[in-house]
Amino acid sequence: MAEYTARIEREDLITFINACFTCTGQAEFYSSSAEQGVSLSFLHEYIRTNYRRLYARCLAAGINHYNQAEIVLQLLGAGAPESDADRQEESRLIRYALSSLPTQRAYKLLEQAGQRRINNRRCRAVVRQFLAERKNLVFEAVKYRNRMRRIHSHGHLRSEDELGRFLFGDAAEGRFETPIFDAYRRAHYEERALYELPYSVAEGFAAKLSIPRDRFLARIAPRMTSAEKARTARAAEREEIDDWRVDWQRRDPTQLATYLLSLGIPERRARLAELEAAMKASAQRIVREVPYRLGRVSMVLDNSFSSRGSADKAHRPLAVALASLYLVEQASASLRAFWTSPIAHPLLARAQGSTSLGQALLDALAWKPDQLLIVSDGFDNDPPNGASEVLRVYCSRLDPGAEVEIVHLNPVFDAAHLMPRALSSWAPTVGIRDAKDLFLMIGFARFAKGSMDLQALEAYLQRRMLEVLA
Amino acid sequence: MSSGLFGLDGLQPAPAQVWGAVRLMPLVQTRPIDDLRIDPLAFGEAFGLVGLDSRDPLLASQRPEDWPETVYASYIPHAYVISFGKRQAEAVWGGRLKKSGGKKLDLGPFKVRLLHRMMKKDCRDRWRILPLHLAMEGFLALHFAGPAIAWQEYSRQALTYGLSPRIEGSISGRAIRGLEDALRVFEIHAGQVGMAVFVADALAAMMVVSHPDDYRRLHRSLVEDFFCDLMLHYGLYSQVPEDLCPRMRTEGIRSLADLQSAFSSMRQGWHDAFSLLAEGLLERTLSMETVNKAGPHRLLRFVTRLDPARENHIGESIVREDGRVEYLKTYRLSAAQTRRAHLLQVLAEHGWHLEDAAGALNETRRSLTRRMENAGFGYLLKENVRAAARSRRRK
Repeated sequence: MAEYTARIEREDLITFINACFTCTGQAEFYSSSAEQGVSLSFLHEYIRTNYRRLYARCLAAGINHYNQAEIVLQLLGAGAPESDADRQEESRLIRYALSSLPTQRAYKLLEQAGQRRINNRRCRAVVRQFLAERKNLVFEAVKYRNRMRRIHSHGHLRSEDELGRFLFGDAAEGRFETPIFDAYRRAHYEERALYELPYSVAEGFAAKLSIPRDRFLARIAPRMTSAEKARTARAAEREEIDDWRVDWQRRDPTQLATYLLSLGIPERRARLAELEAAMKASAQRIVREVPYRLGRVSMVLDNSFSSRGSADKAHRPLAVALASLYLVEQASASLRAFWTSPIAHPLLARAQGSTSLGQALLDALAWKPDQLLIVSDGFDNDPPNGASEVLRVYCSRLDPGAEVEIVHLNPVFDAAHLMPRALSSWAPTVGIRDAKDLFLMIGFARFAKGSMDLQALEAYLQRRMLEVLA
Repeated sequence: MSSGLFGLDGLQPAPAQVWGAVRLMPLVQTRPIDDLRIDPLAFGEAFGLVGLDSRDPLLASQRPEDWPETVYASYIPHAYVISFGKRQAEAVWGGRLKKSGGKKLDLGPFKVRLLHRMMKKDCRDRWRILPLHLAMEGFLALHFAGPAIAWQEYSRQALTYGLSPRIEGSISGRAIRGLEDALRVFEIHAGQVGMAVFVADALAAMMVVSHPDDYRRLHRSLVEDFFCDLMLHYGLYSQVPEDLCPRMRTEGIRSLADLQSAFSSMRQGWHDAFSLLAEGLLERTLSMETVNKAGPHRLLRFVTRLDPARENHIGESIVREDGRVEYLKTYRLSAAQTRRAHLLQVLAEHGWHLEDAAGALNETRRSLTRRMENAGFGYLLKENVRAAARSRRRK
């Protein structure tokens, strides 16, 4: 009986962590965002109620930001646990999560606490402490003014200095001592002051003052973050601004892949050398930080029609496949990629054709790799179940000793099954949202396969927790 | 009426895709032509009344003076405009090239569109047809005139007005679970001009147009077509049954090469399933009626030879002189619809003589009467004939 319970627990946790790596509540190709949201919030509530300690520890497992924020909210909403040790551990994890989340996500999280009417003592303390520790609070108050205001009013926070007047007063009137607050005030009337503000705020004033787009972009450029610069690269091109330097190599491989998939094939072909160099450099940067190395690897990559994602996440599955390819290339001794519909060059990939995973798998196995990585949404239709049958027969008849390590990485969360859709029980399926988690997920696949028991999983989570809290 | 075999000249089936119980089999045109284009013409109000001025002199003569002309009433969300020749009008955004066609009648909560005829020549080289309704109207009009000889068993209504009103029910494509999603998630192949829709692996409908661009436009409109009610139930089979999913043989596989050959044969088997699945329509003898002609194009509607033991389809198509299919839409009849039509056909073949028809069906006159009653044709018979059949049954 105890063994049975342990198995159920292990499966619950694997399902949950898998979902937390993949799902962000956005629409996918095969399901809407409402379906995804319902499915995910059920999982969160279920795990929080049944495995509170492990639920909190998932914060350290490297899951995506969306789910980190959701866990923090759920924990804050459920009140503090009974025992002191648990309470302390949870608080440290929440603090860690809040400080490691990107700024905009952290503020959104605190704002959502207001929307969900969470306002217990612990929650207020967390908000106070978070704000007290911000190094650049003044700047963030300008950039996230509305959020900051809602957070302040929800938590009944007092600020004696100018911040209170800036948030709650008429920010267009009365001089401020703080330079950036004053710039915000002047920007209501004066174009020069606008260029002292963060880009996202300046954008609104630029529209208000009807500043020509090319002049605005050229002059705001020094204030932009590299992500903002990458996002506006197309607009800068349109406005013919010459020295728009986007440091593509600093972008993560998945972001870079998403950008290049948004370009037309002729443009990609014209800039092939540049894009390829950027992809390689970006992948190298990620791989340098992880100690994981692979041997002879073959990859099966899905570029079927369904890998185009949805309106919410355009081309995401294909971008993950593409980025994984470049990452594995940097981290493996030798690599060969097998696409479901063959292409001349990986960077010229397009989401089209039916999914014939089975044939690609056979080609990949024929190359005799040590490891076989499959990046696919798990929908296989030419013929249906083709890949699953190939895996079944291969693993049961040709490779009973499991000499080839097979891992299925799935960038799509299947709302109906509460987890990324599996290809076959013979290969573990793990979710992946950002290709840079690839190596983490390959490690995690051991749990998904069932070769490790609950204690090992708990120990793994504890180790991760101690690592991040150290 | 003439008869012939159903064929799909020049069309190649491509690998099918399955979503829930729905399987879509793309049909690809190997040699596309572009002198026949089809445009959808959407009507805002879904309910439509179509006036059918009958060209059947018998029917026209039977109609009393004060009796309105024959009317076809149905859910009609759109029409197709078929243009011949490469004379596509170049449109600018906001321009209005097409008249919306027909009059509108405002009936409080409903708006009803009044249309004239199933198929109408808009101008010299353009037709407006009501897709699938053309075929359905042909089906409903089968032996619509009723008994030609005034046998004493038939009621006054049957002798005066024929089968009117003749009613058949069907369901919208939206009611079939998974069809709308399937149309969204499946990719349109390069050169795809048509599709065969299977629900739980029964052929529900087939659609073909002549140009891939037209198909792309009309692909999603399939969900607005009507289907037989059987498909509603078939759609509830949520998955392709496990047994129907292709399996690979395990025995005798000792190397990757063996695995490869096993996989190839499994894939081939899956692709070959088309001819097997569409058997109910392919290679069937049809009775066809030519509705109109324009140059080498012939618009016809057809019914498979009605056989209550098999699946039966009705449809309409435009066929070129060389036999190439340029437009096709079919509808699968439900078993009850087939039985009703079959009954009418047997009656008509025997001059509506009850004894003769009963003999042809290997039945007695009484059981035939009961059968007519069950099929909803009781109103054709005199009350005493119906009562006699009923009283016998009670004994």
